Amino acid sequence: MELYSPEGLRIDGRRWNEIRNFECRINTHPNSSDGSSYIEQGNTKVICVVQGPMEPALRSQANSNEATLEVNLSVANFSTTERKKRSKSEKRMVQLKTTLERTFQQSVMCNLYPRTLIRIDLHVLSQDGGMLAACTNAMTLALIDAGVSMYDYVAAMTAGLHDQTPLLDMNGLEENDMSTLTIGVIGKSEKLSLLMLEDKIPLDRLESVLAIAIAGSHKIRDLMDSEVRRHGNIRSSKLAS
Amino acid sequence: MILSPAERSYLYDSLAQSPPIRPDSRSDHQFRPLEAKTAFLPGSNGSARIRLMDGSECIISVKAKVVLASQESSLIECDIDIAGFRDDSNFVSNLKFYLTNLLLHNFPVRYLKLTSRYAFKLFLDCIVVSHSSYPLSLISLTSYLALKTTRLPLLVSDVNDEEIAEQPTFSDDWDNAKYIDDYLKEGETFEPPIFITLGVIGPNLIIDPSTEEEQVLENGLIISFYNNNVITPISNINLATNSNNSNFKGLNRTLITKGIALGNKYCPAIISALNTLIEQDDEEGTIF
Amino acid sequence: MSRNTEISTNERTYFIEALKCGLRLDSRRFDEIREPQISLSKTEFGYVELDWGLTKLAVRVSAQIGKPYEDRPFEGLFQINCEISSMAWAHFDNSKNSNEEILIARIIEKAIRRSNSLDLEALCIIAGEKVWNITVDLNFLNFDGNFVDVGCFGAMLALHHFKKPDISIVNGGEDIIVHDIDERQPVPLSILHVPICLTYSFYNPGNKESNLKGEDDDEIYLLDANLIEEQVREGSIVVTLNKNRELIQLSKNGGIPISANVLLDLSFKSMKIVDELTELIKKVISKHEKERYEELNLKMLEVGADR
Repeated sequence: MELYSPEGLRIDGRRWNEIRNFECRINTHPNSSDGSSYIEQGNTKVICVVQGPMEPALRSQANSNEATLEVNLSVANFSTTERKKRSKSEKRMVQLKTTLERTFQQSVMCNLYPRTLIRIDLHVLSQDGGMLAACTNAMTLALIDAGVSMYDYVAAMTAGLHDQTPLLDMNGLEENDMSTLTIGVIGKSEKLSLLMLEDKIPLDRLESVLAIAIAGSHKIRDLMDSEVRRHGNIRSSKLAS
Repeated sequence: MILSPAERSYLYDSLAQSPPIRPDSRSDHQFRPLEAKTAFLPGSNGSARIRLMDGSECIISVKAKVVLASQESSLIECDIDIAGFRDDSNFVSNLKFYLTNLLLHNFPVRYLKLTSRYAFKLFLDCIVVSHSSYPLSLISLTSYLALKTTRLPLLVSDVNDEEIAEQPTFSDDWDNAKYIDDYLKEGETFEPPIFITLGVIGPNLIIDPSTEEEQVLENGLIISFYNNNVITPISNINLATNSNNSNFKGLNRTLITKGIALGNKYCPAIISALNTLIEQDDEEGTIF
Repeated sequence: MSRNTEISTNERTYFIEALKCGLRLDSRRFDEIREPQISLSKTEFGYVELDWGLTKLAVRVSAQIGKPYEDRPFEGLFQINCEISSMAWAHFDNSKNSNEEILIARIIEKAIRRSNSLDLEALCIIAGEKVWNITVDLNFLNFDGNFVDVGCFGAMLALHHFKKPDISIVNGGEDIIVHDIDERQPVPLSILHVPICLTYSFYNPGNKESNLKGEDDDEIYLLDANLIEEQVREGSIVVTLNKNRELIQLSKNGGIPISANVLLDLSFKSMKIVDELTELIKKVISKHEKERYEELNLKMLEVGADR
């Protein structure tokens, strides 16, 4: 199996700097939630549902200074080709969940909602690389849909390194074989709010991988922004008529 | 959901009328409107999603795996994941038991047999994204759609592998894959079993009670339906969770016969409505 | 949580003001780590005690013979257990699996285990049947900041120090004899590279919003934060590197964002400290080896080698 051909084509026919098909929708669950979104990043598909800000059920979740974020990440048993029963208390799941909670604790203006709980349910229906990135993007959109104040978009993207060439937006096959960097960028800046690298890459190549990942994140931000505006226009046209 | 005494009394009295007056102006045998989508998960053999107008939503995937039939205790396995509930909670375990039990006893398992030694095992995984009323009928209707649209790859190797030990092989062409329906003989149709929930209130039975209605019910009935008949299990249950329902009481036995009659009368309409949904479903890939 | 000693506002302000003047409370430079004090057990292989400032850690490595995973018949088993009890700091209750503990354990595990720092194939005895099962137990005895760096360094040190008993296979691979360490010299583990974790804590003395939007870049980065510094920090990042200039892990779990340039800068600056710490492990271990060699008079046994 050749992940990157000498002609510069990847296993799914993309060039090194191309992202996969990115589809996003907001307000997908208007009747059952305060904010919701659905994201397809290639074959990775994530539903995100936000409840809140609301009164927490437990006293311990009420913080008098800022809102508490609770993320529930559930990865469907059928999300991979081979079905696998997954437990929510798996170490990897707990780590991803904590990472998401802490990332958004900073990007959301939590100080505006003291003593409240914002509950975010993420359902991963299908995974094909870049799960953490897709979850981050889905959360950003759902929180925007819920009208929760945020400093800016958090747009996430993966990038990897094949030999000397950095590759953008890894799919599942590439992710299994190469080291993958996941980053979350605040808006159009070069500020990273999320960073995750789990396998070796040469230190001197970090810069090129990072640069392409940031460029990819900015692209994702634009795509998400146009969806938010599209939805906003539909709403405002309804108001006008 | 907690209702005030005034709300409860108003709701109870209107539902106990003859005919009952339901808050959403449905008649006693009417389901809440729903929208459905099938075959949207390319990685699964079958998939379905049902969304009710109150926002309740359920997604089910069916995956088939080739197994040695002798090593498996059953050829169907169900798993349910409900947002906001622990996997080992009573609520989830009960629902899982209901669904597994119904399918194990009322599913034409013989069509899953591939060769004398190998068989397909079906894994039904269910995600309830959100729900307000008791989600069993929602889950069961979704599983009906998912099973009905499940496609299994076509076996190309020999069916008789008693002597020669070989792994079954399948046709590469997904267009050759067959629905379970296709294995049946002329005149038979494959209609997986379903559950419907009935609310008991005074002398009345109401189909598919909503959350508000659940709060004042005197009892709840779960009726299963397969092959044009109401079948066992028929059970009663308190449908409301987290409520201050003080109306709950024993069940008059005549209501059970009435419930069975109601099931026999209206379930065929539900089945045919679901079949129409599958026929009308367009082939668009995404679910939203 | 009530046992958590919170930092007062005064202390916090004092600390931040000091940082603005370029001072740390223990007068270290911003990119200076505390000097580790190492004591290696003379009697037992794989037991190491480490004092890193006031953070105190005991590590024990142990080996057992076990059965490999079915899908990896040629690889030995290796696990890292991380125990953080309320003995180290009252803030940690003894309840199993707090998120914090899982996070720390995962980061250390990823640094060492996932990066294949230990040659697992060298632990194979009989393929598919018997392999060595190596366990590293990290016990934090006192906590003064920086679990991750100390834990990772301690684990690597102990793995270098550890020796497993020699074995021989008899009866054509049917039985194995485990030789007592007094009977035959035990064998060290084969370690492919030495990952070093470095944690940077950040502080933002300016306005939060303009910082998030990337309008100003005056965050302060401290290496190897102690307890007070860790409680006041607004974000952190773990960089794991080895001597071969390979980046093994980057992990940032929330906190204020870091700009890409700073990240690159920090990673490159880290190399110097990584080299120093790797050298330190090598030096301490070889010194210890030499002492042991002289003490046991092993030279006498080596007549064969001299010939």
